[in-house]
Parts: sequence; structure tokens; C-alpha cells
Amino acid sequence: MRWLAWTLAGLAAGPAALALYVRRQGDADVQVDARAVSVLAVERRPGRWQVRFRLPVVNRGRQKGMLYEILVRPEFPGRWAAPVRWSVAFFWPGVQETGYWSATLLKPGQVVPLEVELTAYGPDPVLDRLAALDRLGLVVRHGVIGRSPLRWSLTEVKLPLAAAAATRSSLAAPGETLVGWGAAVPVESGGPPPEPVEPAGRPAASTPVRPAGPGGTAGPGRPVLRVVGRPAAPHRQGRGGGADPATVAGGRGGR
Amino acid sequence: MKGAVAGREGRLRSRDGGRSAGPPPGPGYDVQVIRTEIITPDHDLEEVVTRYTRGRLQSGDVVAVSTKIVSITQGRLLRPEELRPGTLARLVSRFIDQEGSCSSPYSLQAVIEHTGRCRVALAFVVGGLTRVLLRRSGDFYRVAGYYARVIDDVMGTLPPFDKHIVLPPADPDGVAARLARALGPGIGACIIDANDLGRAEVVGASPGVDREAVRRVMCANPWGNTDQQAPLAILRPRRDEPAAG
Repeated sequence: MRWLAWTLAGLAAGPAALALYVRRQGDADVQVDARAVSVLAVERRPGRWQVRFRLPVVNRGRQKGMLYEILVRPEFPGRWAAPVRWSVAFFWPGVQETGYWSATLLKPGQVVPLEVELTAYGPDPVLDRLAALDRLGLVVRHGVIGRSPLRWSLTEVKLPLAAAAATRSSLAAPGETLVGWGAAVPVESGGPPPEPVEPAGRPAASTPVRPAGPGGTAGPGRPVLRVVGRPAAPHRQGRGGGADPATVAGGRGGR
Repeated sequence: MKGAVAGREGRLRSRDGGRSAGPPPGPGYDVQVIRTEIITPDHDLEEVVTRYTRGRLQSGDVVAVSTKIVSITQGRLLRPEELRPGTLARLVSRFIDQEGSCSSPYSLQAVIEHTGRCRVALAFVVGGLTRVLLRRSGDFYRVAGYYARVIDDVMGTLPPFDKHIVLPPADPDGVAARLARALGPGIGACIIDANDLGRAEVVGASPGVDREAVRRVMCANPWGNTDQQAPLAILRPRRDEPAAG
């Protein structure tokens, strides 16, 4: 019977060794670091509200992993936001700058400082209300191919719009005209947001949806997030010829 | 990416000593790389090749075409989601270096579906044994055959096909012969799979083309592997060398 025991042990050793190899080998573990999200720039123009934020993606696994696809969708804020249409573009500064996410292999420990540009198009009152949100919820889905087949993961991200606004408003004195990512506008430290202006310079027919100020029902108004740079301070030139929004946003945007 | 880059329809030049420091320049041919538009399955390969080489060819030239555009014009593209990797693909892909095209369960599953389970399993066993016992690499691909060697995994191609697996071209010799006929008398055509690892394979050639000489010159991968978008090259015999076409 000893030969039978040896045979069985030999037969079991192969799968066991294989299982051990697979276990020790590990796999890719590409994750979206939702806690490290940071707002780089916010821009409001007639008919358009745009936020650019950094959303790091990190491979915490022991194998290389291919970030095959990444999709971002804003959570639906409510029926009032139904007229809004969204567009999303992805940038990896210096590597992928077309707005399209091309599948990429990430080494173990590699961090991709992914930058996402989220643009909302719609009626100005709705966009004003959108811009006044403290936090914007996002749903991020990403697919990874590693040693194992494609796996999709879901991450919920809360975009800290209010915190970014506070950081920016603290950089600018009241009434100071600052160079923005888009058109330069005067900064207000409180009170209701100014009426949206149509491209021709005339006041738009629409009015801000959210009443603000002491008599308002929705709490005090917040400064409108249009300021991304201080003209007096030395700064790098960003996209579109304005100040680099990342430079002013608390120093988080160094590239 | 370091190494040789092709200027717009320019001759091969080297940068940073990258690729020129690798394999020696191919004997017998000067290489003229041609950039093209993005080739899609809607294109006709013969029309594309004749259009981009019109007025540039001399008797004795060989037109080298990348396997990628041949496959794309043949519509041999697969999304990973269209495949369901089996146990063999999941297992074997774990033993392949992640730089290789078969390291993904999906591309290996595509190879299995075209080559057969038995051959891939045999290649796995033979490749493993020779690697462990003889310290030799590459036997898996030699045994597994054409599909394993030439398949391009996801990321292997420019957008909009970067999320596709590109299968090897069908009937490469026939395609090369038809291209040579379309290009005119005295002109050869070949289909090349080259990469930045200093390897190239002539997967198809029209009659009369010196496959080994072409392979040597294309080992330098003058097309590049990233966004050079240059899938065509004219190989012109040097004056002191006999014509190969």
C-alpha cells in the first residue's frame, strides 16, 4: 500500500504546487483613490459649468494591471437637474492628453494622477444651482485586466466643491479682479451669485434658482467659483492662456 | 519611447542612441517610413498602399506593411468582452511574462480558439520544461505557432483599436502577392510583425522577396510601437547590394 500512498501524494502535489504558485503570484489591484480626490479648477460660463479634478488611480497589487476602461458619471442631483447634459474627458498629464482614456498597463505601486474634466451644459439657473452644491457625487466604474480576466469595480466619489471654493476665496481679497481659467470676473466674498450673463454681455433672462443671503431659504450664499488665479502673483501659464488653476488651488496641482 | 522615430515620411533616424544601439542596421536596404491616416476596417488595403507609395517606388523596392493594418482591414478585431477565457487560458497566461501578448487570459483564449487546446497545452509543457531545464525562452511561442507569435493584445494598437485584440492576418502570403501585383512589376511586398524588443517576423511575402534580409532590417522596428502611425515602409536595396524584389 505504500506505493499507493506515494502515488496519491504525487498526484496531489502538482495541484497543490500550482495553487501555491498562483496564490504567491497575486494579481493586480487597481483602485480609484476616492479619498485623494482634489478639485483643480472650476469654471462657470454662460450655458456651461466645468470642473476639473484629480482622481488618483493606484495599483496596489503585486502584478501589473491594465486599466482597460474608466467611466465617470455624476449622480443625479434631482429632477431640477434634468436639463443638464454632461460630458467627461480624461487626462493623464504628459502621457495621455487627448481626453480619451487609452488602455494602459500599470506597474505594481504605480499611481496615475488622473485628471477628469467634467462639463455640464444646460440652462443657466440650473447650472448656478449645480455650482452651488457643496459636494457633487460621482460614480466611477473602472475595468482592470490583470492575471485574471476583466473585473469591473465601482467607486463612489464625493467631489468637495465647497472646500475648493473656500480655498480659492481665501486667496482672493473681496472685490479683487482675478485672472480666471475662463473670463476674468470680480470676486465676491458673500451674497447671492451674480446673474448669469449671456455671451453678448446682456443679463440673461434667467435668474439664480437658489435664493441666498439673510432672507433666503436656502442658507447663505456662497462665492461663485470662478477664481483660479491671482494676477499679481507669479504663476505658470495653464491651458487657455490663463493662470494654471492647479497652482492656486492650495498647491495641489503641481505637475 | 526612446529609439528610432520616423519623421513624416522621412528616412529612419535614431534618437538618444536608443534603437540604433540595439540590432545592427539591416544589410542591403534603406528604409523609408511612410505615415498614414488611421486605417480602419472600411479601408481597402491595396488602395491605401498604392496611394501612399505612388510615385515613390523604383524597380527592386520592397514595400513592407505592418501586420496590424492588414488585420484591421480584414476586420480581424475582437473586444475582450467577446471572449470567455477558459481554465487553460487563465492558467497558462499566469506563467507568461506580462510584456508578452499572450499574458492576458483574453488574448490567450483567442489563440486557443484558433490553434487548439492541445497545441497550446503542449506548448505550455514544452516551453516550461525548456525554460527550467535548458534556460531557454521562447519555445512556448515556437510550439504554439503563428497565432501566439503575431497576435496583438489590448493596448497593442493605436486608438480607436487600443481596446481590441488584433488577430494575425489571414492568408498573409496571398495578401502580399496581391499587393505586389497592384504595385506593379519589379516591386515586392511583405507583411511584417515587428516590435520594440528587437524582434521581427516576416509573416507573408510576395515571391522573390528575401525574407531573411527583410527581417534583419525590420528588427530595428522603424515603425515604432506607439503613436508613430507609420505602418508602411519602402525598403530600397542599397546600390552595392543586389536587388531583392
